[in-house]
Amino acid sequence: MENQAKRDELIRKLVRQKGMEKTPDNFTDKVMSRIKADPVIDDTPLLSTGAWIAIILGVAAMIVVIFTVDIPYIDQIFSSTGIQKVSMNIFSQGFFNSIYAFIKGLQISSITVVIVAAAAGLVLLERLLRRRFSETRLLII
Amino acid sequence: MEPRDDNHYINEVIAGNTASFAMLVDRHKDLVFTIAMNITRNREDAEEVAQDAFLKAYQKLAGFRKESGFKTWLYRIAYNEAISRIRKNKIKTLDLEEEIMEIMPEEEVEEDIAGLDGQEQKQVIIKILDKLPEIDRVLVTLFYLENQSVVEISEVTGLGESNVKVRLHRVRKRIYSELQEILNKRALRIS
Repeated sequence: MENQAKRDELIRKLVRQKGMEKTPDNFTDKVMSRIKADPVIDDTPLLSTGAWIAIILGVAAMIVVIFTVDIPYIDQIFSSTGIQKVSMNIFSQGFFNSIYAFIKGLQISSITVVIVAAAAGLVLLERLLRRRFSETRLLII
Repeated sequence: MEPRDDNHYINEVIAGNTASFAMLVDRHKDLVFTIAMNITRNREDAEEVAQDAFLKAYQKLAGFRKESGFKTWLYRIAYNEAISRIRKNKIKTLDLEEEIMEIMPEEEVEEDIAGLDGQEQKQVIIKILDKLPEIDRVLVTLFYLENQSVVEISEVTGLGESNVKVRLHRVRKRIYSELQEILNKRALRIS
């Protein structure tokens, strides 16, 4: 331990003797002119990934509640539109069986699939373009 | 005018006073450049890396969380920029060689080092640091020159704290062994 402290002291002395590297002349001016030439781009997404996940889970939970839980007001809406509610009895069949039955019972139209795929594609494309754009911008400088 | 702390200038920049960023650049440019030099080993590349690091820091300043410390945050940006640069350029890095045997006691090494003048001491440490792998050179700069703690070094480099400790231990031994070797060769030349 004592040796280590002595060595540290010796190395620190030598490293300080060497000191820091000195930046070339006008370094600060060069950085500031690059900053002035390049407007600030805040490429942080409006909503973080966590927020998106929370929103998706929230919407999914809302859909499950609307379609499964008996709420008189919502029941009135369903009866007026003719949409069938999913019975809560399926959950008495065991967790995995009920999930399976629930998924099996779902009927998704092709339009829904197209809309979901298009939305996912747009999100991916936006991220890809944003990354490509920021890389190109740095290379141009 | 009395210099203010980093947070003062950060707040001014965020409030729209771009010129205040020059104060931050002036204050930290040498260490950012040193980190870049440690990794790229080339002045032109290091200058570009340092400029890119400051530009990125400026662009991300609004998202900087003050509790993490501006210096540590800035050094991390510089470190990552430099690492990306050497990966992009496929610059060969040095591997840490096996430790060399140790013979001389600390006091003797210290005495011999004290016998060298300032310029010679500088040449000796430059020669030793040149032989170290890039990451270890950064560790030496942050630990011995900037007096950063293991935790702070871990934040800058992204290495685990125990990894930083192990690397520092090995680099300490390595520098000491190299010192002994140089001093022994010098003693032989003189005799």
